[in-house]
Amino acid sequence: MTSSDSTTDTSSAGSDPALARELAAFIESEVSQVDAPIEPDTDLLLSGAVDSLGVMVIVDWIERRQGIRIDPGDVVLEHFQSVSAMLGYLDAR
Amino acid sequence: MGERAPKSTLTERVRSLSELIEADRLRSIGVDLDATAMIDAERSVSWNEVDREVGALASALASIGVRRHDRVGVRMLKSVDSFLAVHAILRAGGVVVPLDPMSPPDAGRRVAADAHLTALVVDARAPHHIRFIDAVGPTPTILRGTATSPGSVEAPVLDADDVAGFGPLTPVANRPDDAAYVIYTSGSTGDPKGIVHTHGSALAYATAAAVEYELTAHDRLANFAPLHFDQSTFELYSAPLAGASVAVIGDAQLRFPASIVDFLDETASTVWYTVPSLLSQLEQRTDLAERDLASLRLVLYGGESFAPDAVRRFMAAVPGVTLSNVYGPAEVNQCTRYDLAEAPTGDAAIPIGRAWSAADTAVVRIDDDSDTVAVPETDTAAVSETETDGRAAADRVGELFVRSATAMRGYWHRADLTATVLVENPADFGEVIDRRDGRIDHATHENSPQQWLRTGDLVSVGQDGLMRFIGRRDHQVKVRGQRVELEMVDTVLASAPGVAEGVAVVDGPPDARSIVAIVVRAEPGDPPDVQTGDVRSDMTNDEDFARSVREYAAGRVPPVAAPSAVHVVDRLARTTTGKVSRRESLAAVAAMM
Repeated sequence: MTSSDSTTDTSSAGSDPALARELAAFIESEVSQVDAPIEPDTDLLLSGAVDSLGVMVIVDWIERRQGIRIDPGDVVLEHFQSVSAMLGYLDAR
Repeated sequence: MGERAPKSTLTERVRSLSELIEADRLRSIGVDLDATAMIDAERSVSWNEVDREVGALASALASIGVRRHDRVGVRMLKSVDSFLAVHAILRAGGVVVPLDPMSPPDAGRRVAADAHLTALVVDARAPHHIRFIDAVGPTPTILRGTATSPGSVEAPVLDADDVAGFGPLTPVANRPDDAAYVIYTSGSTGDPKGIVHTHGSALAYATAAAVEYELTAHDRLANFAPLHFDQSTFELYSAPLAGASVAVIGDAQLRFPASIVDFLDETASTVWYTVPSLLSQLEQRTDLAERDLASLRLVLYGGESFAPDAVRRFMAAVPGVTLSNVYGPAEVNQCTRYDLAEAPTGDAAIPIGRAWSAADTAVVRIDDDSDTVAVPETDTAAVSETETDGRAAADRVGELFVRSATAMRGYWHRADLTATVLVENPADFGEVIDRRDGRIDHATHENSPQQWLRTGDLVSVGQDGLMRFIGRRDHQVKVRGQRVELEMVDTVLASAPGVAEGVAVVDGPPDARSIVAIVVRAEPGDPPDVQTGDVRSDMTNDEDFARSVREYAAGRVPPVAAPSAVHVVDRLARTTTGKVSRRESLAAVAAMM
């Protein structure tokens, strides 16, 4: 499981630390509905930070930032539960 | 296992909800007690395990003082565990009071105060659970799951290890007229309003639904609705009544349409009761048409209307599935049914159908309707299409009244409010223009209902005898199937620092609606509200101001009622009598964009 591998080292959060930082900052400022910092392993769904519309906004941001297209079938909980999980998914694809 | 149990077998010996999961009864209707009873993304439990875990938790509840009639709050994320907690409260004789685990702690505190809770069952994985427990005040609490964030509370707490040490509890014998659960909605003033269902009314619904939808021990019901949303009573009570198992979709899973489709597939769910907005997302954002979903036979939807075009797309994607429209306020759970035998052709609203077996319906043209402020759900063209004569269409519209054994006992300690909706005779309110009786003869029924429920919903009656939902007589709207009182959101907006006045409106297509706030900023000279320091009222930028209002509201109302957008305008549109017009205010905002 790539998502659990990436959580073993929370300081790096995947192979692209710059992406991890930008993604966390984007979620914190543009998506999050709670007033709390977004850490690599923050559970974005159960913390109440991100709702289903927020998920789509994040997918859209990643697609534009990385110049990729994410298959709708890949937009599942395991890949988007946290910033670490997203980086793990992007590394593995 | 096998043949559908006739109604007489299903309800034989069942006098209260706590008897639904008794081993002897389940065995008598052909259930294998080692078979899966409940499953979620993390675990699956057999009926025997359900019995054991419910027994231990019920004993733990009894040990912290829960007795017959006592209200017990359950604030849990959706999981097998949340279902076990509900059945344990019932086995201990308690009254289940579900609280939204995603709501701000203060909203939960007000419900807890209104219900006078004896005890709490709290999910340690849910957001703000510590703040919630502290906000409720010292109340014996059972903590489930492992906390993701550290913290300690003042209240006496039993954790998972403590509960595991308890043995079984002999179910407390509840009478049919004892309260079983209270579903809270927020009234128009923002005060919590608790809908009290009894063991009798809950069993009447569970039985009617199990019979109508031909549930058997072979069925697996996928659960969409959180416990505080009345749709969940289908999986909580109808499923075990018929010996069917339940697959609980988790809160986080629910935000991912692709995860939902995977889960329905993996669990081989056969029946799914959900809301149109979610079905549209599945159709738009997953490879639904390519999926097998061979086990799925029936999809029920309710809570809001489903646009005919979206219905066509969904039915085309899953041709082997029967789609059926469920209608009924939480006060009666369900009262009409409409099966879509084939895809709709025009743009006319999908009917809510006819009275189902357990309900009598009356449509009443209200004599004194001067206060009617119907919020149309369908445009008038769609309505008149079903009637050739425009005048005839107007004549055939009225408020729906329902009489059923599934009806609530009343609103919790609000006799005044109850008296306005539970009434003796619909004819006292106007001309009865349509009257249908369900197949259950209430005259001979032991739990015979006498009173009628005023739904507040306006319906039209077509020449085909089918009813169609037109709108509300008040400012209640539905978002993702759940009730929102716009006046309650207005009140919160008006209290936001820097806001002179504001209105809440519902916006978006029927299957993707959300609450939108339209606010007017206070004059720069107005003093800022210093009591709520988290929102600054000295912001010059409208965009920052809008965001601050959105965050302020999100912290004070349930998630479905939280504005998805806040528009800042110079003034609100008003009617000729000077009242704020929600529709015109929204139209003005739309025209600006």
